[in-house]
Amino acid sequence: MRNPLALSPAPILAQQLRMVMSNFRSTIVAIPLCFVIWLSLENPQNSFELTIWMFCAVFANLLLQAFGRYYLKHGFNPKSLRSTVYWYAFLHSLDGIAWGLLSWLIIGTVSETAAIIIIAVFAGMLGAGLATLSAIPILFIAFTLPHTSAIAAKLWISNDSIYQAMAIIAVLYFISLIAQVINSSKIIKNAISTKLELKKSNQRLREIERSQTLQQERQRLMQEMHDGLGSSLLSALRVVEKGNMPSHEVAQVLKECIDDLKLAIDSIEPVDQDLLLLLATLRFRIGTRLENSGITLHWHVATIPPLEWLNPSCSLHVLRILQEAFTNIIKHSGASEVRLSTQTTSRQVIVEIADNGCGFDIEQTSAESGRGLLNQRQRATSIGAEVNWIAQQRGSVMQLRLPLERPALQTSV
Amino acid sequence: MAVPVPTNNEIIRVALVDDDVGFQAAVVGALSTADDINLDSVCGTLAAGLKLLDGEPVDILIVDLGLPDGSGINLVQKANRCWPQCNIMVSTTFADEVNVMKCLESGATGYLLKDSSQQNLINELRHLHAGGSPISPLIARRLLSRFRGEPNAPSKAATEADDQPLLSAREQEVLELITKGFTANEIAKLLSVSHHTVLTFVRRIYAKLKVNSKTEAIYEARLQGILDN
Repeated sequence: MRNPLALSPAPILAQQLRMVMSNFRSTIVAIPLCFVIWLSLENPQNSFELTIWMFCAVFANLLLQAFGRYYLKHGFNPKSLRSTVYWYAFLHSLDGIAWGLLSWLIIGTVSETAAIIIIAVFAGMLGAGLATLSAIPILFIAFTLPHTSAIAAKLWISNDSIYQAMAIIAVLYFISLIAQVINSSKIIKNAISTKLELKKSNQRLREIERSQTLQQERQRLMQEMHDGLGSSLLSALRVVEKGNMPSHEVAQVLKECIDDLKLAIDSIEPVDQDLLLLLATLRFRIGTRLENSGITLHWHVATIPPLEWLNPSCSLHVLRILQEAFTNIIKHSGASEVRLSTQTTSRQVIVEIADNGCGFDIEQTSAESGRGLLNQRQRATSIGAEVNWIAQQRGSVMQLRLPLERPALQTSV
Repeated sequence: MAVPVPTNNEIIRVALVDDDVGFQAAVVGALSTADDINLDSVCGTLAAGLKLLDGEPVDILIVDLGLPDGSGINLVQKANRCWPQCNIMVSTTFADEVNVMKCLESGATGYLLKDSSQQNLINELRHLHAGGSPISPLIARRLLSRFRGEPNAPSKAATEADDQPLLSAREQEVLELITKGFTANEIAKLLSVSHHTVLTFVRRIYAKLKVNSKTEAIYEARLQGILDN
């Protein structure tokens, strides 16, 4: 069986000590009580001793409070925490001795009322001790043991059977309160250690979360460097090395690299689940390029409910899919007008980009140089969306269907 | 804020403070093709830029934030005091929201993308001189949340300071349309106002942002007990 009076390990002990020290109510009761006892029981027979006792009791109580206030204000030194507890226990025992001495001073000098007052004060002090000191049992014992023994001894040696009976009652009362204190100290200790553990595990969880976010972000940036900017730069380098590309085309490739970089930067600023803001950002970035290519963009967007899944990594996928669509229109379609529209169904948001250019054959394009289209498909799949191309008499339509709810399958993030 | 009314034969005087030699060359090249814009001076350090402020004011000052001997923000703030009529533009590679917002708060009224084509560069300068200011959807969103008192809400500052300007309903509407991707022309049509009016809305919002961030700065300083009253 574990020693019920043993001190808890440091972090729990600090909490327990703080609990005890923040109790200032005991002083509010104890100091006036000293005065009341002094005023009502002082007589020529005990005047000198009782006055000194009053000052000692008040002083012992103030000393306890000052000690507690000091440590509450300056914090505990973890290394000397145990000795702090022992010193605090010592001060409590001084307080207990002072209250125990009271019985020796008044029994015999104030006759019949004395014992009743003594027992009443004793019961009250022990009850208050239970309320304020039960977090650390040895503090309770330090205070109540001298108090109880002094009273019990004084009552016992009185040779009066009623006083002796009271002495036995006082001792039994003391023992039952000790049991009660040990019980409640266990409960308090458990509550504190649960709280501390919870705090610790919360902290650990937050750390794990943070490192996971970092990891994800790093992966995303790596993939982005690899697929987007990296591959564009690499192809530019190859072309320049071969030396057979006119400089304005090299400039075009480099421009695309910078555009890629801008999109990646835009995707870092969170759009707060606002798909329209994302589309707006894309328009802002590529608007001038469309204009310079002689293409008029018609903007037909309607309010879209917030998309819970639209985090920075998904945002970048959406941006890239649509950017590719616009790039294809500028490079290959020869269109003069493009229309971007949005539409919300019960389960999807549909973003549609239609142009009036020459159109293309999906099967054929996919077979020949379909890397771009394949890329768009892959990106769409990874965010639980789908992308379709619809050939029309004049021009073509690309449809991006995005889920309203968080997609269940999110293979690569 | 008084918006200079452009007249046909007015020459726009420009000064450039940027240590990027490539960009310097691009600006010199672009402006040499424009009859109505004159590049008065070009320098590449904060010290030289601050010295400029002792001389005759120009119409547009283009400032790079990352100057070799200090932050361009200092120059933006000082130019704002010395040359109140001058439009300040910040040159930036990416126009990312954090930097642009910082510049607008310090008193800049526009920014210039370093990879702009010659024609776009000239257009941006003319546009700014005519009272327009560039704005991106992401910046519009930031402005909306700023005036709403989000997200790092010094909301007490908003209620305690009476001179704290708020957005008018129209200004808020313009910002909201910008976050939905509409251009100035489209917004003018949607709100049945002229193109020029939409441009001045943006400029007015920027001016309010500047006052706002000053009031907030004073409030913060008071909170921290830096100011006595």
